[in-house]
Amino acid sequence: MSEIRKLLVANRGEIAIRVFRSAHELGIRTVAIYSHEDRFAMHRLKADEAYQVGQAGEPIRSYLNIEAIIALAKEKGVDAIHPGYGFLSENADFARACEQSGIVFVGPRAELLDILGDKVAARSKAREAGVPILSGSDEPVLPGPDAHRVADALGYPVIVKAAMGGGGRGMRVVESSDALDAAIDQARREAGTAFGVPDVFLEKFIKKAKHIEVQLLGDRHGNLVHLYERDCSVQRRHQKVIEIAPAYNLDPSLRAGICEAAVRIGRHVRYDNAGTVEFLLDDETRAFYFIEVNPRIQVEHTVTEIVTGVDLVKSQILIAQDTPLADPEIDLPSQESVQTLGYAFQCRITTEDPANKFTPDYGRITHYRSAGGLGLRLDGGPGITGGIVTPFYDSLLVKVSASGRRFVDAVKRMERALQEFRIRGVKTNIPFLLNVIDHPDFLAGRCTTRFIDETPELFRFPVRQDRATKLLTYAAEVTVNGFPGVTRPANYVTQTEPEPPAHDPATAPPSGSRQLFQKFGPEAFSRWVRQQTPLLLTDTTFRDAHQSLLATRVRTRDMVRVADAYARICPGMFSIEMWGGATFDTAMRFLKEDPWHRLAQLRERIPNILFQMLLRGSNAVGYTSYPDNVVREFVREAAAAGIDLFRVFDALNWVPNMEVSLEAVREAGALCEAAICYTGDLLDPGRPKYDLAYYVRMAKELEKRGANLIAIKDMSGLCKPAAAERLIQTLRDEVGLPIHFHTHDIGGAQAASVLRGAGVGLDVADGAVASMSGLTSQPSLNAIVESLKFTPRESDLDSAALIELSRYWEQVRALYTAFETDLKAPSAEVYAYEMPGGQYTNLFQQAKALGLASRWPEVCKAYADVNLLFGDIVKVTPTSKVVGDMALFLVANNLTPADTLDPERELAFPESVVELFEGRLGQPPGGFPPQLQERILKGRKASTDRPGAALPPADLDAAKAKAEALLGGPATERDALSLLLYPRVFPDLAAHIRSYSDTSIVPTPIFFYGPDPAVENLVEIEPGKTLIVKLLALGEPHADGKRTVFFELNGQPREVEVVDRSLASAVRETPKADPNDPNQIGAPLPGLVVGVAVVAGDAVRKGQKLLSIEAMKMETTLYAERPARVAEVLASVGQQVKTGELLVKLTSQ
Amino acid sequence: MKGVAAPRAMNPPFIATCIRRDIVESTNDLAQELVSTRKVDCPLLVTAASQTRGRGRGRHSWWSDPGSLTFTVAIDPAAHGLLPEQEPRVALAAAVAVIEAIAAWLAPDRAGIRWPNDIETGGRKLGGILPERVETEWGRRLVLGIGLNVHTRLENAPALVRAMAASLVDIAAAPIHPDDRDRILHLIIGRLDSALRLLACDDPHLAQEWARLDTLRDQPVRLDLGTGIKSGVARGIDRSGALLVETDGVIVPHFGGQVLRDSLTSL
Repeated sequence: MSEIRKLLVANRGEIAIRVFRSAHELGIRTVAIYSHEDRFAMHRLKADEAYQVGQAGEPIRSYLNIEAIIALAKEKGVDAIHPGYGFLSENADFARACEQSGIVFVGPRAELLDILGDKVAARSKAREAGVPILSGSDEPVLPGPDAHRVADALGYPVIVKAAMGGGGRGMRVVESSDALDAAIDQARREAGTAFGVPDVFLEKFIKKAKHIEVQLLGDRHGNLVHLYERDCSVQRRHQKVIEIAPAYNLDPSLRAGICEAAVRIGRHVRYDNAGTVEFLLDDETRAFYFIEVNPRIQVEHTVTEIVTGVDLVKSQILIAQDTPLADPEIDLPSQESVQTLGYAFQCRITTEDPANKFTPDYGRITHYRSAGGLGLRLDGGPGITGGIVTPFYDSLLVKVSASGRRFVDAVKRMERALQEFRIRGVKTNIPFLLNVIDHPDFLAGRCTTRFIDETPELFRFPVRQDRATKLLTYAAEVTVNGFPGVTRPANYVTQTEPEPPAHDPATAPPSGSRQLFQKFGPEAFSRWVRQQTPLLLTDTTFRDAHQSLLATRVRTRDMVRVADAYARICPGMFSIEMWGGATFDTAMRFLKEDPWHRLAQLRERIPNILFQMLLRGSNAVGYTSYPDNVVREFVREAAAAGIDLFRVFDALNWVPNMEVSLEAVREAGALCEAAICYTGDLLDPGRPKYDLAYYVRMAKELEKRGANLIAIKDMSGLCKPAAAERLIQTLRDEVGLPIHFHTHDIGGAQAASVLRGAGVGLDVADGAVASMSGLTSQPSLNAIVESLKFTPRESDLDSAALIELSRYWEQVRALYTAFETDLKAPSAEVYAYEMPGGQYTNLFQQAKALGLASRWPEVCKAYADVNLLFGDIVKVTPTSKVVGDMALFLVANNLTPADTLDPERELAFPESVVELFEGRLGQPPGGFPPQLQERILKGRKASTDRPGAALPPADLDAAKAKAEALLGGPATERDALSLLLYPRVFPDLAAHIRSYSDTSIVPTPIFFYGPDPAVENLVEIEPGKTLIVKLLALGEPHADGKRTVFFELNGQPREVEVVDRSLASAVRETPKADPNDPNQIGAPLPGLVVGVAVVAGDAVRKGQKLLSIEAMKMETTLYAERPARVAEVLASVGQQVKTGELLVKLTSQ
Repeated sequence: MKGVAAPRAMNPPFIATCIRRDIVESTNDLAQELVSTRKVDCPLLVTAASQTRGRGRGRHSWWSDPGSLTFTVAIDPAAHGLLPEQEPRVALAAAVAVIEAIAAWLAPDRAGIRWPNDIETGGRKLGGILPERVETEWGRRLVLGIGLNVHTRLENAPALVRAMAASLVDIAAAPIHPDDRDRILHLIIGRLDSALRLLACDDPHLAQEWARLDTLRDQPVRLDLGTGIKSGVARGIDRSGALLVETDGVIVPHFGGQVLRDSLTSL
């Protein structure tokens, strides 16, 4: 026979490419065929010539069209056809048609295809060759008594198999006789559809079976060798998943017996070309049985090639042109010339979703990064970035074969390769493959064909992070829609993040206050504080300073970036206030970050300075009273996470409301700082309520309750220098505890209060670094330190370090310009109205919303009047808000304080006012004015009990479970506490993290304003793992209201689609039905809701109509699939819905 | 006949079961009854020489006379590889098939699709498609009623029908005979076969066809959504079969609703 010069591959995908490769090496010109649907497929481009066969709408038929393929081959001067596997590879008619047209068919003789393609005939050949076969029916079976007789004789379980074909189609395992007829019927139907011949027969089914197959290679001169075996036991639904060569952990004598049996069959039928004899090995009895012969190249031929070094496809082509095995081109003169070296195994990466019953996934591959390196072989098809996976063909993306001298080496190599792959846009089975190769049974070579079915842990997958895609989605979202509540200034210029002060990261931070505290414990440490000569200082920059100046908006990232430097250049700071107050709420609600994570990160970087937080007594870090167990658990957890000092206060200075917290802090072994809120003016003889004696009484009470320090919390900046001096001196004399002074510089004179305090023994003062101090914030630390220089109370802090920190924060502050208030100078009215600094702007906004902006001075005046009307109370969150609400109420209704007491008037007081007077926030000193209380409560009962006492304990375990559900992954105790404290905010945070991952790592300018076009932005997602993100362009809006945002990620193009919320009010982002939840009914197609037949609360029968959707005049009715109760109807008549949109929620009855 | 294929054997190759009746109430009703009461091999073709109670969409009736071609094809969408989401587009695909089938008598540029299921010429209705979905014990079936005025004598029709309808015989470029109805039926069935195949693989050529045949494009439209009427300008039929309606500069795809024939409201 003359040499083949032009070879056509009647196949597609990876096997077509595989054949082209060997043909090319043999110097043969290659021809591809492709269907219309495959016109962009890779195999078309890998051949020297490529021609379309068939027409649109014939994705499969095109490759089965014998007439058209032969005609094309003749027309193009093809002299040989390789059929690959599947399609026409085992079709004797095709082999004959080739022969009749004078074209070489690269495969065995047509008569062999006839015999071996028919499993019944093949079994009799095996029997003739003396090879054991599995007992079964000799004739095809039909449902009915004959089949039952055969099955009973074999004994259950039996397997129903198609006479033709393979690939698992037309196969059913039947466990008992009642399922037999149906299984035969189904298998016949499947076989009929798949192979055109519905014949099926029965076989005994072996429970613990291994699938071992032997590779044969024979020439046309009667020579035949085996190339050892492959273990293909790892199967899913009779589809091979992993194939190993040679079989690992197979007894050598058994191996010899199986290979010898395969050769016997091959010789008996005078097999030529490449073929595989499949056996079932009973793992329990070591008996093996012939299954079938596959007269073609197989998907898993790769692993045999690797361990034997024989190019099977090349050999196939040479054999087809009559070359004998002994020819040097094939070089297999004897069985002895075949040797194996090491182990190889193959995984098939498919676009099937293992988490969703291996449903094939289609679409565009948005990103494809391949594996490579030593000991790896890749046989790929459509796997490229931008490649399309169509629904017409099997979902094989690439075959990965790994090899090694030992089996375990090959497994490690495969694990490495699978981890190296990054495939985005379509789901793949990689997580499943990783689970399989990591399983001890696989590593030990113990897998049987039921391994996958019987090993449920293979289906437990780690949540895929895919942070890059999620972060890009966030960047796209901000680019298109902006950050909620933040307007990008028209003259916005790119801002860069400031660099932290210079420091030596290699040296450990010097020890500081925290090490002393840990050494001494709370009591001794408290005594140590009192003995210090220098004034000790607390830095509030990380909490109260930005809470007061920037609405608590400073992000964790900007704190963490300075933390390493801080610990090293400023180790003499007494404490850093960095948690509590509004930070917990704002971090979650606005900044979308986990406050616990902030605490943990700062703690790790600043191990040497005390961390302190502000705790709102029974309100913890929230705005309402929480059950005692929540407060206790919160304190315990916060202390464990790194809080050393808890400053506990009550908004009415009501000590009973502080007790649970104080106790919890002491139990946690932390420093317990009990705070007294300062109000009024203790020097004013006209206001005796809050006089010196009042504060001393309270301080003594707190000392008795175990406080380690006493804080004077001057939240409104009312504690003027002379008053501060009196108060501090008296308290220090009267109680044996250190005094910690906290004030806000609203009036502009508060540094003086600190200094006067320092003169009379103040132990610790709060301040903020200069660039974050003044006005509503704390006095400047830099100023305090400088002012005390060369005095007895001179601080140990390094002025130069404070200047560097101030520079850092100055630049950070510039990133938050959007949150600055308009306040330019100290307040003139602070002493007149006694309004806390943080409330001033809020109340003004509220007044504006009510149309009272022009009457603002009246509102301020009313605020002061209301305070007196309420009996002169402490005004701090949340009591200050109640006073503000009442002030607005008076101004809006043109009422005077006296009017509120007028029995002739019927007034509807604001709800917050009613709650205050009910005692729900606690009790003020001296109680509420009784006459007003009666007017406000109108007969409702007031309580004098502690509000938290009446609350039932919260279920922490249930909260943790709920947090887990919200996060879609494991939740911690801390998540559970976040959820309990902020039940409405935490779900939003969880949803944010699930959509965008942890965005706290995103640089602040990008977080609020999105990336600037054409600028390379670096986002470090973990140490040493940095994404390079560049925004390229913003697409035009699509009809559905979405825009495509074009990026470059690590130099590769990426696109993200987001809804442009400024467009199309008609476009709603609607919740999707979870396809795995049978209680969520989603729209099967896009359309118009034309009828809703149920309402929430209805009980529905199975099959009862729920609603109907019309699309292009076709009405689709959705019915209940099982009895249930309607929980929620989201759809309404006239509503346009999209595929998958959630329409109705059911609950089980 | 010039340019027209000779009729083939009476069962068109695509059809598995063929039911012919002289007179029925409605071919769609009969087809629905057949597929839901017994296991019928699909595609099923039901034809009738005349219908006594032909149906149009919703509560509309379909006026026909012995010159009208009215028939129903029922298919098993799964057997054609159609996903539920693709099923509503069957009406558009069928409309494309009908227009291609009558190309020998009526130049393709003279016929168009009025979204979603009418076949029009010069603003008058030449035919219509009524798609219905039936859940049966054997799975879902799509029942496609197709009506085409081939040799219809509109002078006997009610005034409203006369005002809006057209008959092929009156406008055809080539002479048309009453027995041409069978040729047209065969041609439509053949075209429907390939249109369904294109639809199953979302072949862009099919969508290009219905977009090209769209008669509402850039016309002001009023879309009755049941709960209200949306006014705007039609901006084409997209690949998913939705009518794009632009209102205030915003284009929204609509899958449901009825485009009102405002010019007839005065009748």
